[in-house]
Amino acid sequence: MTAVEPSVVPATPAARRGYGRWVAIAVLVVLAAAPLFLAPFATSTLSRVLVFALFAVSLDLLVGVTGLPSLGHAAYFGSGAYAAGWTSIHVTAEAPVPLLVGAGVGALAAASTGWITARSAGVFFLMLTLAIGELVGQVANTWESVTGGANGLTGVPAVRIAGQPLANAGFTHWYVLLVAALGFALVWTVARSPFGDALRGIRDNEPRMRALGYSTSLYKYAVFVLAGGVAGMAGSLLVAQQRLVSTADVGFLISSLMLLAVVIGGAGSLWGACLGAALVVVVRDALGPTLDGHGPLVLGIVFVAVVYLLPRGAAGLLGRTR
Amino acid sequence: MEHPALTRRRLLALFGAAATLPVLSACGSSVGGGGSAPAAGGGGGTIKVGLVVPQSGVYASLGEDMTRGWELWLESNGGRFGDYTVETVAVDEGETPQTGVPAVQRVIQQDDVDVVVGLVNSATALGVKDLLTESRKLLVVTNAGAEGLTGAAATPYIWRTSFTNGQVAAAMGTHLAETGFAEGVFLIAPDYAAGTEVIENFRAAYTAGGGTIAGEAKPPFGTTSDYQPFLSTIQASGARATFCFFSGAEAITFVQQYAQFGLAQSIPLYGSGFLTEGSVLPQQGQAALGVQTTLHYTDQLDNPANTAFVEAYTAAYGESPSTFSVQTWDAANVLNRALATATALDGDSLAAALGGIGAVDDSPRGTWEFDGQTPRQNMYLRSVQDANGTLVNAVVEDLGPQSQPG
Repeated sequence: MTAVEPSVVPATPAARRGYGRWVAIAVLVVLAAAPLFLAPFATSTLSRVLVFALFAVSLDLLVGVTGLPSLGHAAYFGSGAYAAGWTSIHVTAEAPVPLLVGAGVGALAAASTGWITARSAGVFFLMLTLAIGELVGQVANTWESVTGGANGLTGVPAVRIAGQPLANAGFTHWYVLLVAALGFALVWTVARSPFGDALRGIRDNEPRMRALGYSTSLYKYAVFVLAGGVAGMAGSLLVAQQRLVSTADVGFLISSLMLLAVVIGGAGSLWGACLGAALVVVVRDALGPTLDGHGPLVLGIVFVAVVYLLPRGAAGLLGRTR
Repeated sequence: MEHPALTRRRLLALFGAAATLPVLSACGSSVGGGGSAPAAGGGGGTIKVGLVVPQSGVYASLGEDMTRGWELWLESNGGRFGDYTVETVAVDEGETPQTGVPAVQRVIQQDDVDVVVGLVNSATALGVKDLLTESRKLLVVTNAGAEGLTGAAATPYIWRTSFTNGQVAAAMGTHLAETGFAEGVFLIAPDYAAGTEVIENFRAAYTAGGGTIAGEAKPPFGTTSDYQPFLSTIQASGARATFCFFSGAEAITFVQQYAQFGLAQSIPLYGSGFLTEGSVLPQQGQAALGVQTTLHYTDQLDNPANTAFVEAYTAAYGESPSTFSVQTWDAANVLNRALATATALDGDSLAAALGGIGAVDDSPRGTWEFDGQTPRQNMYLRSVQDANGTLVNAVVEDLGPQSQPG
């Protein structure tokens, strides 16, 4: 982008921040009010958008902020989903428990595999995460006593709050919105913190950061575990919303779809990742089924069109460069 | 720079607007009561059916057969179930529950259908169980073979006109134990839920008939393209026969490699019917000759209903029907019978009516009846033969009626 500022964007950074805050509040209000006006299917589509937006945001923390393109991030999303689902069935579905278990298992899975990936970068990181994702997918497929194998983990009860199950799409949507907003705020805060600045430094020039005395592997490990935890959170929301976990939720396909969502949104921009995820979910789940079998084709065309027309992603439209 | 920036923004706005359209098009509220109450149609209303079958992905050819079976029944019966005009909403199931579950959600919540018909993927069918129970809608499964869909763990809202994985395998287990292969059969099936169900139910029926297992292998599902190590194990195991379960691309590869390896002559290949059913058979070619399988249907069945069905199907679509066509044809058939007595279109009334339809005596697969919400039906031993240049599953023997095992 050149220095030419589109006239609608306020000129000073302070004014821009204020503008952003109002937009964020407006979006939250619209999302919170949506179930009052939308039919159940539209509401549950919106909930799915939020689930995958949180997943995309956690992936963006790796891809956009730290510069680590991961092709296996669904492993942590799926681990969290299976853990939250299993806990809901066998222990309790009381509100914070499946969420905490999902986030904890996501972070734990990331912690136990991250020490391998934290030392690598670029294509090697891509290949390692791909391999780990495939391994976790294989475990989900064969550990039938826990995951239900190819038949999936089914019969997950609805999340309960103070003993009351979330009986309809509207209540579930509010629960998903609350948790997704918290997760987004967490990632946003981390990305804006000095820790986030260090991550961006690693993205831009890792040898230099190391020369400055930063233990870059440690930083990469920490952000990998954090991203895994947030992905696990998103996984627990998926179960709350879909009441089912299948091997497709751990697989390569969902990892790559979400990586594309991040790229479409503009890597490094957290709200851009949300937009990318929304595009994927709406095209795949709301439009796809009625397209006479051309759903995947349309998704592919949309990907190509967006990447061609918006090479810097949706975030590139506002001309922000970070 | 200003001009392109503006165009881009307009484009994004366009994308955004297009994306929100389907969401906004359905208005109403999702807070409050536990689901909308459908108006009972009374006599002479409309019944809305959601046909959820794969239109894309690896199961697309199954989905096409299923759609054809459904449409053929409706066309030959004036598009009506008794007094009701049938309105079909066809949506794409895709490959996995990730697409299948939202598709079912869509027809139930958005299109407000009375009945859902279809589903190839067992995980999708198992995954919509709660959704059906909560919305009190009936699902007629026309393929998915997981044991857990019906039988002990059943919900009253899921009925099936297809088969169970174990049912098909158990018939073969009993047959092989009785016909001189009791000294040893080698079992091989991919390592996933359906493969396990097939193997376990074959083993149960076969050992109950006095058979002994010579060996067993579970190749990784969906990623194995070279079966040589497994074929060597089979050769060394001293088995008298091999029983296998594969479908789709794996069925083609396995049958071809089994013949190339030279095992077909010494250790005959038996399998669950999907090994040689539908579009895989022509691709297996000569390698499939002599392979014997069990299934509840083959287009070679000699009965008046099947003769008429095959004739009408071939005239309409230019190719022979598969078992998937018949399963969906029968879904329309049983819904038609149920609506003759059903008092309303909700899941409970339809389930009660389906339970009372008795024997279905005009099905191309032969007479069958519901037993625990899934068919008790005749199993046929079939052998792949060359009929004037076309490979067919010829009927060798009628193995008699078989229920869902267990």
